[in-house]
Amino acid sequence: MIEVEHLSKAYPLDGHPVKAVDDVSLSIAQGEFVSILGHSGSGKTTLLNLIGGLTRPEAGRVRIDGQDIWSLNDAELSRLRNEKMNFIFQFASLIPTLNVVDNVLLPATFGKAKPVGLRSRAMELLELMGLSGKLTAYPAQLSGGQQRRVAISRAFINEPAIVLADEPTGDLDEDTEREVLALFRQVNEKRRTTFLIVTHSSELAAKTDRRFRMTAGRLEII
Amino acid sequence: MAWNITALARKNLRRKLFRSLAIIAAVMVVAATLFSVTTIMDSVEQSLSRGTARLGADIMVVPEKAEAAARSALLSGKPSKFYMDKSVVDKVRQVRGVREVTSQLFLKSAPYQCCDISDLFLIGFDPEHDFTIKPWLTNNLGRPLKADEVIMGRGITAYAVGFTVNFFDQPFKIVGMLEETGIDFIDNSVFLSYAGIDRILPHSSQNSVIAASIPKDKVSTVLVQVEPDISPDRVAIFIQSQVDGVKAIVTNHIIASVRQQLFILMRSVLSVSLILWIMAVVLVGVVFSMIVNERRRELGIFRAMGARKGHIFRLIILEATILSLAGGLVGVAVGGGVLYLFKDAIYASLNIPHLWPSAMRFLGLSSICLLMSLLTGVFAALGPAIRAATLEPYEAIRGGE
Repeated sequence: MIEVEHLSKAYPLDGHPVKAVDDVSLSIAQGEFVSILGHSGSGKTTLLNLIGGLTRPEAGRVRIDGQDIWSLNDAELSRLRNEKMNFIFQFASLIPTLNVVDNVLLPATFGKAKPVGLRSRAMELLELMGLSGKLTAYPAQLSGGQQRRVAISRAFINEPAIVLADEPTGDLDEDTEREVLALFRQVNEKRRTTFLIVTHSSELAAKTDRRFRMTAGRLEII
Repeated sequence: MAWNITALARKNLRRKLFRSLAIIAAVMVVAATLFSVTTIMDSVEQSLSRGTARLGADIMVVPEKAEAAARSALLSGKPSKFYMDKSVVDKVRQVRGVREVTSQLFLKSAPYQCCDISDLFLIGFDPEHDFTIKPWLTNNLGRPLKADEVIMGRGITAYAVGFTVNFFDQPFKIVGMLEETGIDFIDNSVFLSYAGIDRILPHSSQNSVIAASIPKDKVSTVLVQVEPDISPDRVAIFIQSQVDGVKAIVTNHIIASVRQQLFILMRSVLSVSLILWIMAVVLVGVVFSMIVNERRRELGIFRAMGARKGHIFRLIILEATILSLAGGLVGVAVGGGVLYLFKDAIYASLNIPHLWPSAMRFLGLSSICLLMSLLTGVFAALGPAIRAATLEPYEAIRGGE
């Protein structure tokens, strides 16, 4: 379960602090399929990163399964990120020196669990994404859409309880977008994985169970 | 999962091969210079300590005017003939602080048919009181040296134990070779007893083109061991004040003067090494700062995937370690290779005693240089590694945009 209480975060702009996230509170139950809709610069990516523990808020609190994530030390927070959640970034987030399979296996590099069976799981995920012919390819040899599908496969390798997705279908064509969303939904229903999807697309948001809108750092339910 | 971090580090280094090679080259230059200089210095130190141990004397007493020739003889093995009255031996023995005294007679082989090897130091020793050759004889021959026997220094390579060698038409059997010391006075000399010298003298005047003449009742040097509770310096002062016409040279001072001479010679090389080291540290530090800046987003992604600060720190340090060790290994190989190929020319130009290190010492010196190379890389990458580890993940990801 994700609980956000009065979360705020500002960034300096031309010497003045601008609130990217302004007193945001929300609660997402385990297994929910939620989206945050907003224009570019509305603060939705910052909110996603605050929830994922990638940046510290100036005010407010984020609880994951009742645990205040900013009360954890670096090792505990890293472990939480490694075992309980995973990210799909809006940019090409693959490591250029690693091939497709190794990129998908990257979270296992930093985890405590032994990578038994992970390689075959990575293969399955990549096959599901239509990338079985690209296992040994490097990111530079892939199109933007293919890279995005590898990043999505990576997000599922550790079977996380929470997936935080920032414009997850940005580079994908309509068919692939549909397939990816179907996969999200399948994982969501089968494993009760929580999905928090940040998007500027009303169509994509419409396919989620609960929707929020972010405007100038403020969150409202649609 | 350290192996995966190692694999990540290796792959990162391969990605920027030219940059990696540049760092390896910088560390290599430092390691090669360091290895060559330390090997030369070590070879001189080894030579001096082994040579003085073989000599076994705390003080060498020579005629007052022969000090320079004696130092030259001791360090470069240049055969010299100088003599002083035999009574000096007893006078020195009476001096306070003197424990053991022995004398030696120097003779130079002639460049004629009478001598199988010309211009060689022939050193006669007193079998009764000797402490330079006697310990070797006790350990290796197990009996006193006969009048027709000699022991050779290891530097006279054309001869071996069992051979016969002629000096002033007198045959001498070689019964032993001393271990190499690097000091020519020992390595390129032939040691024979006073009885052996006595064999040479009458025959040389009858048969040789040139006679081996030694004034009667003379010695070349008096070697002194001092009591353990008194310093050689003090005893040397006592000797000079109580025995006329002699110079008492403390052997440790010879070592110190050679060390100083070596330091002066090596000072410029050491200065260059230091500058190279500083340049290497700065270069590696700057390059790793660039690496961290370039890879901010990547490092942020690692953190998002669950990498701890320690993982990021280890990754950067590991990359520095791999490059430094590679540079160190190549540097030791290059430094060692150059030194091996040009050692004769180098040591000839330095004109100081030296002893080419044994395989074990080479291993030790190589290890020290590798450690120094490693420290160079790790020390230089420490700042960037800490900065990389303490980056806030989201800031790192945004910073890479």
